[in-house]
Amino acid sequence: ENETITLRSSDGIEFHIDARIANRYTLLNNWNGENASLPNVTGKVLEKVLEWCEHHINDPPLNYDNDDSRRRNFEIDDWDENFINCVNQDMLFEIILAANYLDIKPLLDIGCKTVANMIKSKSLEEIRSTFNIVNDFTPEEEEAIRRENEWADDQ
Amino acid sequence: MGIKFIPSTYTKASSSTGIVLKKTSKKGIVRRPKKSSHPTMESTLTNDSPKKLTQRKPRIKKWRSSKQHPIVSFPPELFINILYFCDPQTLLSLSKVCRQFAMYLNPSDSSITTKIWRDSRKGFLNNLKLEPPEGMTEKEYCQLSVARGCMVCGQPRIRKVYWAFKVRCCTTCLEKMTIRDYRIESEMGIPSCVLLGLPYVQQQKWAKRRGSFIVRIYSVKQVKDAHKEYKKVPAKERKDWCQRMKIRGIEVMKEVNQRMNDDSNKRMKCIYPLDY
Repeated sequence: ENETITLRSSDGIEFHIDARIANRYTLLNNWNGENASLPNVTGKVLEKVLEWCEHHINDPPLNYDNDDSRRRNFEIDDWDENFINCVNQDMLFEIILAANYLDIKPLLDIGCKTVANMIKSKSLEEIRSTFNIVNDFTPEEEEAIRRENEWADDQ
Repeated sequence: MGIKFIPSTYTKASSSTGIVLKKTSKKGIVRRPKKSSHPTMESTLTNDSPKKLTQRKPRIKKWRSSKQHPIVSFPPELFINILYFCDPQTLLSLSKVCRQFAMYLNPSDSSITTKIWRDSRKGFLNNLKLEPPEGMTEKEYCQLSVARGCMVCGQPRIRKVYWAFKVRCCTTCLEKMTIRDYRIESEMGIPSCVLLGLPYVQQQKWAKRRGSFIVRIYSVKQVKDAHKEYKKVPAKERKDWCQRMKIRGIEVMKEVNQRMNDDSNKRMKCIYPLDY
C-alpha cells in the first residue's frame, strides 16, 4: 500500500524504501525516480543509513532553525547510541559523510557528536593514539605551544 | 565489555572507554571520573553498574590499522561540524595534537577559527557569557579560563583568574606583579590620579595594629603604562584626562566584577579540569 522508491548505491545494490523516508529528507528526495543511484555511497553504508531512517520514520517533523543550543545539547537516545556503537570507526565516518551528502541532518549531528564524545576528556597522547596521529610539530612550534599558557609580560 | 575484567588486556585505552561508559546521566552533565591508579578500585566502580556495562560496547578502540584514520582526511566542513560539539577544553587539547588540527584552531585572524571557539564557549562555558576582554582572541579567552596552572611560575592546578590583569596565577605571583595602592605614590613616585582608569583587585588584609582593612592592588605594568600616558598629556589637559579616566575606570571595573561574579557562580556546571 505504501509507495516505495528505489535507491541504488555506488556499487549497484538496490534498496526499496518507503517514500515517506525520501520525503522526509529533501535531498534524498532528489533521487526519487526509477534509476536513482547515489554515486558517493556504497551499499554497506547506505544500508546503515536507511536502517536509521527507517527507525526514525515516525519522528516529529524536523525543525532545524538556527537554534544552536538545542542542537548542541540534544541527547542521543538509546536506540541511536546502540546503533552508532555497533559500527566500527571506519563505518562511523562513512555514515557521517553519507549523512552529509544525503543531507540527513539529525544523523549527521549524531555522528559528529559521537566523534566529539570520543575525543572528550582525553589527554593529548590519548587523542593521538586513538586516531593514530603523529605529532608533527617542529621543536619551535612545540615551544610556542608550551608558552601559550604563560603570561606575556608585555601585554 | 568482557575485556574490562581481563587484567592483561586492561590498557589505558580501555580505561578511557570506561569514561564514556559511565557517562550515562540523562541530564547531559558529564563529569570526569576520578582517576584511580588502583585496579581494584576501578573494578569495584564498574561492578556497581554491571547492567550498563553489558549493554554497551566500548566506543573507542585504539586505531590499530596502519592506514590513516578517517578523521585525518575528513572534509573541512565536516571536521568543523565535529568541533562544534566539542567543549573548549577538548578544543584546547586538539589544537596541540598535530599541525592539521592546529590549523583549524590556532589562527588568530581567521573568522572560522573565531567562530569555532565562540560557539564552543557559548555552548559550554556558562561563566564566559561576556565577550572576550579587549585585545584577546576567543581562543585566548577560553584558554585563560579553562586551562590550569599559574601562568607565571607554572604551579599546577591553579584556576583562579584575575580578570583585572587578564591572568591566571597563584597568590605569590599575584603579589609579585602587583603593588598596593598606598605604596604607589611613595614607592613609585606616581600620583594617584594616574590610577583612575585602571582595573584593580580588592583584597582584605590584616595588620597587627590596624586590624583588617581593604587594599586595592594594581598591576605594576599597567600603572607604569598609565603613567607614561599621563606624562604625555599636557599639563593643561590633565584635568580632562583624569575625568575621562575616571569614567573609563568605572566601566572597566564593572566589567571585571561581572567576570569575577560569573566565575564564582560557575562551579555547579560541568567543567572538568585537566592538569597541564
